[in-house]
Amino acid sequence: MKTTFEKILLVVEASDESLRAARVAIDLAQDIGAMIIAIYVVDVAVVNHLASFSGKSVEEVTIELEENGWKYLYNVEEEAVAKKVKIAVDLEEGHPTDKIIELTKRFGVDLLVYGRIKEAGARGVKAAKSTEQFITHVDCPILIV
Amino acid sequence: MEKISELLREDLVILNLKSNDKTKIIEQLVDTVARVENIKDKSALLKAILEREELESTGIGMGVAIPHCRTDVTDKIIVAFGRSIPGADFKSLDGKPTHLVFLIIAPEAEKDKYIKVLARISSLVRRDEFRTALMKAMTRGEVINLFAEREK
Repeated sequence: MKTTFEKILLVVEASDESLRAARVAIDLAQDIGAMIIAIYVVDVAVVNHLASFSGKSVEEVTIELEENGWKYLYNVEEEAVAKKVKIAVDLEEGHPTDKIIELTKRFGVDLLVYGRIKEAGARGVKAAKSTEQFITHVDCPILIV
Repeated sequence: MEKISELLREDLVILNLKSNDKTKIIEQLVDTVARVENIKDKSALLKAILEREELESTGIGMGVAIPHCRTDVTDKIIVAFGRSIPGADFKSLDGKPTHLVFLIIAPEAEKDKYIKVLARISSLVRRDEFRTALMKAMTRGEVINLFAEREK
């Protein structure tokens, strides 16, 4: 395992926790001269769920969620560029946990960074399951902010 | 939010970019924007775009790149489009050549609108059929109409 972090995969979501993680990742990347790959995954299960009761088509909901995801990504990009940190942004569709595990391998990243959800209830349970999956399947170190 | 089809005017569309080199493509788009929008400090605009390009990969994959920056050489949001049939290397994460290039420029104070324009274009171009239609467009007007249809 590498002991230096040259490439950081940052998981971007529509949450305060994600924003906090992004700021930590940007500061870290600035300190050590790493680059960030910021990734937002549009959850296909959420798309189908929203489409089923909103009266909108799957494509309409997908486009709306993608556009929203890109806004978060470009906001993170602005913060990184302001600190002269190298960054690439990417938006994908799929099951977020599986997709993030796949991307750590595809991009050969040295560190995975994401925001910790400290909530009880369904959101917290889902986040805990994702963390368990990351710990089991991700080969690089993980920083949970 | 202003529609992309309203921001993207025919004289800001280049159907056949002259070069397959990333920097030269950006230069051609900046030249066009400077001429059409009467931007006096073209070199400052080019410098801002290229400096940003050093920090980020504006190739978002699927054959699309979106060089962009905020700079006060303009007082409004500008969108220009260029097409390269052979493709150029914008160092996209997916490693594929870039055929469709959108140049987005906005004043420093217009961050929210700028992010919305970037997000709208990034989202629209994820549709395969939309990218194919942009590749096949025969006229500048057709390019703008494709956006107008999507933004109804």
